[in-house]
Amino acid sequence: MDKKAAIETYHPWIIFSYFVGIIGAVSVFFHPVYLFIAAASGLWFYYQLYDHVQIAKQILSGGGIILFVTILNGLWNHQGVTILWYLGDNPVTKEALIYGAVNGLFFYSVFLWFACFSKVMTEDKIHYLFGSMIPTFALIFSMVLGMIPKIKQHFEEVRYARRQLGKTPKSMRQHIKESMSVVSVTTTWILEHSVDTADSMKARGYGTRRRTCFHMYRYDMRDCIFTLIMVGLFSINIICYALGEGRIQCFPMIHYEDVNGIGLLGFSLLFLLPEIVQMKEDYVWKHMN
Amino acid sequence: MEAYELNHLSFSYPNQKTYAVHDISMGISKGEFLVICGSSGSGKSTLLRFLKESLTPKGNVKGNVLFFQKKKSEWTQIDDSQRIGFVFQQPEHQIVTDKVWHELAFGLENTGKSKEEIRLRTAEISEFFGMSEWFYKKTEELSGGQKQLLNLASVMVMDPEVLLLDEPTAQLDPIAAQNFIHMLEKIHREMGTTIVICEHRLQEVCTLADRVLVLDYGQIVSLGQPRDVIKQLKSQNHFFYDAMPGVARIVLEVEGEKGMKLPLDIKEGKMWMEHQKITKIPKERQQQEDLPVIFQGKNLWFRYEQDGEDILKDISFEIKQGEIFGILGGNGVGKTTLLGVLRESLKPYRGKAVWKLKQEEVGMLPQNPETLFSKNTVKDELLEISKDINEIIAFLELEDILDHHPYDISGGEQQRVALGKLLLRNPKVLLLDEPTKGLDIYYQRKLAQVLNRLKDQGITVVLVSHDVEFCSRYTMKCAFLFQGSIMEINTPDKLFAGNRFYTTIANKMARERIPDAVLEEDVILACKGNEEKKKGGKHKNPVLCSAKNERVHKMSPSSQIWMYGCILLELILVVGSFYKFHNTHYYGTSLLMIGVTLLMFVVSMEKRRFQTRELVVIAAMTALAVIGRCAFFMVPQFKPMVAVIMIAGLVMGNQVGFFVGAMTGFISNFMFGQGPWTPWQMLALGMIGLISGSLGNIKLFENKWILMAAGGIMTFFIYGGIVDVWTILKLQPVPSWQSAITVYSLAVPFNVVHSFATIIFLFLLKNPLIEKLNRLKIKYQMEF
Repeated sequence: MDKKAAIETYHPWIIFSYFVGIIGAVSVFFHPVYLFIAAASGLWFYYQLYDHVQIAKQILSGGGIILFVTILNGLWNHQGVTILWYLGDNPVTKEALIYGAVNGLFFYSVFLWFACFSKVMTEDKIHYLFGSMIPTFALIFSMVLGMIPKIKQHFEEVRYARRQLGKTPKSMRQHIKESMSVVSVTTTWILEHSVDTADSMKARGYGTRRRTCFHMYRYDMRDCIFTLIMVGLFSINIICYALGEGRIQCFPMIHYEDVNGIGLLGFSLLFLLPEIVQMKEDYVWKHMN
Repeated sequence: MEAYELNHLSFSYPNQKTYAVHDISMGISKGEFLVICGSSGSGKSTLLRFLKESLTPKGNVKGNVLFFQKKKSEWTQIDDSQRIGFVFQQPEHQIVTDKVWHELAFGLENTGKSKEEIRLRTAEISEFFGMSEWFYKKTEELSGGQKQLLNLASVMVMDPEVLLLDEPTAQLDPIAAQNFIHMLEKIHREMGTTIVICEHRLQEVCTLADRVLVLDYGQIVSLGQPRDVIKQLKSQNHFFYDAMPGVARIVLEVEGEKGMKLPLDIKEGKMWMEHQKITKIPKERQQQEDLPVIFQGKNLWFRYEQDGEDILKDISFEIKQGEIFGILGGNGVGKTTLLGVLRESLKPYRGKAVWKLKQEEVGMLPQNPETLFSKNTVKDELLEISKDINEIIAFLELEDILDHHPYDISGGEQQRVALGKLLLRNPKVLLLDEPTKGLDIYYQRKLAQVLNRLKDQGITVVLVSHDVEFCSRYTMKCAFLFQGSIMEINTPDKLFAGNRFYTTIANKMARERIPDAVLEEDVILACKGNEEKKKGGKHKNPVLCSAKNERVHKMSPSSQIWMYGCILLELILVVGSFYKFHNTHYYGTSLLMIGVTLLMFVVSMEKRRFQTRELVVIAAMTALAVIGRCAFFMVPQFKPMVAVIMIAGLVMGNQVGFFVGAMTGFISNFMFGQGPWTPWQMLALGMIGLISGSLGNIKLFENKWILMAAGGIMTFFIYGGIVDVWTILKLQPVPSWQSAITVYSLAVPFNVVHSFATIIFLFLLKNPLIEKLNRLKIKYQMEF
């Protein structure tokens, strides 16, 4: 059973904006230190959300990704000035390798944060986000999610039933043929009964008026404070970025500004918000009695 | 005030020669509990649907229906959706959403209620129904009975004045059915809702009914208070009399038609029994003793997993050849598991289960006969198994439905067709899983006739059932299962006579005076002294009408120009931005472009008011495409996903094609984990769907091979091309041709496999899927 992180209990719009901002930040801040913080905090959050995760394995795969991208860059990118060695006619430059490493770090951070996003954005939240603006989309979303387990179960029932007609596939060819038949039977079944579902919807007034979207989310003081903090941190980061912070230039030579303490702090806090929220919750619980 | 007034209502479906309902004139009072009954085909469902405008079928109508004195043309949609609720027969297919709380809120959302009001009403209704424990559950996790209660609650939450129910308990087991009917009673008593219910479990509802209406071939046979109706049916010698509550029939048979109050339930029946003189003791029915044993189970134990619970515990029994053997018990006692062991699909870990014949000679009829149907006509279904079908057709009386589509016939007929398919394989043993589920008295009789004929041919029949009445009458031996163990095996006479609670109605009623009585006939014989010869029941005749042909009204698609206009605009934006921002911001621009495209299509979808049926078909196609993505996981990228999306676009137009594609991309990523590539995937699949829509109008692409080629090309270039764009854009500061080529080359094997898959699945799926969709189009008058 995966644990529920504290941030999952906030209002869906907040969670969504947070993640969009994070992914945006990871995409634009091209700096090894910044990206390292992004990856590390992503890993921490990932660990919080997914119970059965082996940290070592994750870090190893991260290392693999970074290595892969570094090598790719070394092979194609010939833009640097410090040539390390030659591959045939093409120079492999130090700048390209460093660019590759930072890029790899970027890829890894993105993967991690998207994985966290998938875990946190459950169907209820997505449904709410859609439902308030594009209700038809939201309705189809939840209909499809409801149909998928139904169809899968019916596949099994049909397969079981068809064995009675002697359809026990033995060779690979027979297996394939049988699977296609099972698919065909189930497809007929779901399409024919789609009329029943439509009747049930019409009977309850679907299409008579503009739909409202029911949800059970609240936006209260806690969410308000979080929004303010989030907006504040985003602003700091945007200002720093506009001032030229958080980026390194690799080509033609490596060139970077010294890391600005405030900028880095703002960035770190932003990325560590889920953990901060979690720590606050844990503190409250511990000291409640 | 009358809730409804029907004046000479007659109706026939288009292209049908007989009236579905004929000359119905009656009123329904406010607050009344009316039960409509009759065999299938008697017009009950049709009549019920005339009481709600949105469900009224199209066809030839004569006469009219008034709702609270308003004519149908004056009914508003609000009246119809909020004041009249409708519950259907199938628990599963009525449910629209995937969560219980959302399902409850669905109707209220449709009528535009505010969030606070919805919250309050759903809380109220779930308390009233005692559903609070499963409020947050997924709808797939509920049992059949719970699903049906949920359906009832989602209708009641809208606070209707009238509740219409079309055989709501037909698919439920007896306990769930009882719970459901108790809930109806509660609603009627506490809220005064007018209830009109089509039902064939008359024993339970007759005591609640204010009036009963009996229909036959669309005509009124009898309408009045239950006791009067029963007497009237007997005096008319109508065949439906046999479906009436057993208690009343026993008394009527013994007493004749004196003017006394007929007992309806067991309590009243018992009181009547006290004054009876018992003249004869019922004789035990003769059983053949010297039959060879065909199955022997000794000390069978079964569990699904090593550290799971035992489902079957120390089961020992024998089945003799030519017997009709019944296995009874409630839900969850292990009946299905025992069937699995008998079928040899499950192996007991202890004990021996030995059949004295080969595995192929055992056939099983599943609970849902639709799982066996794969052809377009009943005749083809039978021909699929064997060429020699004339005997079976005669045996099962299938002549009239040979040319029908298997989904166009009633449940009882479907069961017979499925049985036909099984019998064509010449089984020596037939296993039946809940065969009487949803069957009315007529089909139960027919089934019993078939079983007896099979017995005469020496075929052994084993049936697993909840139905105490059916088993008591037609089986030769019964085993009563509880918690995985057999409590008792005996002839039905001895078994039911010996039970106190799990027994027939006749036994419950008479057991104090006549302990051995199990069937109604036993009680009648004991009280009356002689057996009355059963006369065949009469039917009404169907009324012919002149069949009028109804033309299907088609809507013309119009959005092609608009679609392509949008795409052109997008391309201009892209090219323009590349020129403006060259060297940087490719990622941002392309993301923006995708976002805007998706948004435009989404908005156009919202603006277009789909037919509800179309919407559900769209959802079904999307679900199939998503499942297609996770199928065949052994070979990566070998999926039917693109083929399904293409076919959806071909049949339903380019807007729908885009929608199905984009939704498939989104939902499958939702299920497998989102990634930064999601928007690209949505766009790629959407484009494929969109283009397929346009291809659908071009004659050239009706050729299968050309379509397959197009599919392969689109999969390779559009899907493969677009999805890898993200990787290319991000791999380098300036995407170069070299990096693009490398990425694409690395992806080539995957793209080739994927294209190949699309080609193959288009070959396999195109015609059958288009056929199915077209059938829906015609049968249900959908326009796409």
